[in-house]
Amino acid sequence: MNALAERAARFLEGAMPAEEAAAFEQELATNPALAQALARQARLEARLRRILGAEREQNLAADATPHTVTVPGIPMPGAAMRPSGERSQTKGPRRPGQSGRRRSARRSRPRTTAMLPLGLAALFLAALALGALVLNHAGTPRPSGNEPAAPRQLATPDPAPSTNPEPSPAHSFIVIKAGDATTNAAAALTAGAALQPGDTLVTGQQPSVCQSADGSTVTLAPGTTLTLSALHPATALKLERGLASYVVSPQKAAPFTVAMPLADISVIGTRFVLEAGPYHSWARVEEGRVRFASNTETRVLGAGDEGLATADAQPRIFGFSLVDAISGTPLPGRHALRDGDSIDQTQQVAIVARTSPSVSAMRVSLDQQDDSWERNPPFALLGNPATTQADTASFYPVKLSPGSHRFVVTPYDNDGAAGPERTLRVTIQ
Amino acid sequence: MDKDHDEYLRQLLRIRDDLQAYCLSLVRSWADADELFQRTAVVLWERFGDFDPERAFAPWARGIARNLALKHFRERRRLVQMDQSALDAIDCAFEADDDQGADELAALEACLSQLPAPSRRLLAWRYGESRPIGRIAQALNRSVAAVTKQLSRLRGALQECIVQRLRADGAP
Repeated sequence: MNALAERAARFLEGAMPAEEAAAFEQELATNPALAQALARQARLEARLRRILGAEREQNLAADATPHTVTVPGIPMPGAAMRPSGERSQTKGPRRPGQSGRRRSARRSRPRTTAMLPLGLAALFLAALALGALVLNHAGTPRPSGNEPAAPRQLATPDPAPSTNPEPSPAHSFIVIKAGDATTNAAAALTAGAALQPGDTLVTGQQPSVCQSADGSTVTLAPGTTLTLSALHPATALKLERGLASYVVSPQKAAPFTVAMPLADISVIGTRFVLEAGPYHSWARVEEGRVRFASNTETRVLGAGDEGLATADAQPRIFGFSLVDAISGTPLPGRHALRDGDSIDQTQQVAIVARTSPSVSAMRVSLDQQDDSWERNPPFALLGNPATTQADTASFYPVKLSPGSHRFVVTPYDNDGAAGPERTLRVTIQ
Repeated sequence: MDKDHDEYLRQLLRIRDDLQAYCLSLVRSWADADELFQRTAVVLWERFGDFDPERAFAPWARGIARNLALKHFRERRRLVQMDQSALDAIDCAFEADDDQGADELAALEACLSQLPAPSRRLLAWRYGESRPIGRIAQALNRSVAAVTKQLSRLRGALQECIVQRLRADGAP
């Protein structure tokens, strides 16, 4: 990168001290080459955001709903929180007798994802979102308020611009990808439909994406039930069950809130994933800060932190996530692995169980042949390497023969009592 | 959707990346740039009836974004405010490459597909997920300076790759 481009990039990053930025701005007027370098850098960043952001959205849309634990009994009231720093603090050396496969040599190859279709998909979504934004601004009438509305027909955007621009476009919640979702107000949804307070969205086998006019986006995994509780003064949602990813734009009027059966969260602008099941409410923050309040505790979660509220003290596995084996962070769109999901093991990934705090060990059976024990949380199905190794990996990456594999995982608590087992089938590519 | 709205969306989507880039060059933060772009999109629609289809859409859109940005500067009470000649220079720089958007986008997609997985992942974290460089450095167990340098090299390599591809395709 040449010197002009380097300076332009620093200017755009906001990494220049004020005096240097002022000198840069003055030089722009007399140095066309610098202005061109600035335009080129800004264009490159905008296109990278679009291409790579579209890829991320595609991944989020492919996110899956975890299976809920089905055991006899009624959920008990009460909740327990996983300490926010627990994951990083609990990675320790492997104990004698603990299982784990040898770490494979790292391999990497260029991704072969076809980018053009993603670009077109992004254009399509952008068209819908922009169309919704503009049309709403142009005056599609809709009430705003906190009171749930009675079931009714969903509003569809009115293409004819009105002379009355009220209400504010900030008070809308638009379906930009309907999938096979239904609501209490309509049997089937179409892209562009506007949800109203009181509407409940239920996804079937496909994901669905909604967006408020401030740009906040909610991606519902298949099998998720989400209710729009209010639009004013800020968006309030209720995640009844399933998993949804959120990208919340900065909120000026009031926090964006989501209620779950066992915990509530409120944010002023961030990215996070929430999951609700009969025995747990779970949050993971990707960026920013989230206030996580359960029946027993309230805490602020930062980036990388997780909050968990559970209905009882049984050792339970709530689901499995696909994470980057090197950094230990969940891959976008793979927070919840579905039974039968495919895994590209050339990407250095690991499968990690999301468990209740009472789990102290996990027995893992692979293809009915290979029983192993995992005793260090976070519990990876193929183990985590000793920290004394020179390698900095957080987990052993998946290295299995191509084809279908079946994990049967049983959680145990400190007293040796077993919780309900979970099965996960994956296809290795 | 009526004809006007179809045409408006067609025009806006054609210049979307460039207009966002222009907004970024004026306000130097993606959060502010996104807000400026959104406000610009709304004003463009409100005034689309005044748009002369015989003229180019991009300069008109940039003019509206520029006026909104000046208002942004006043609202934020920035001590340093770009003067008109600097803004003119930026306008000229964007105008020079107004018609290459689609070609450059296709070239960038092709260039990205050739990157090794770790490099692509780094770009995805930074631009696809807007992760702060500090957090990326933490995840990779590297210094902020090292990650900044690697991102800089990657952007440089991508720029070079785009230029070569456009040349090979006979673009001006």
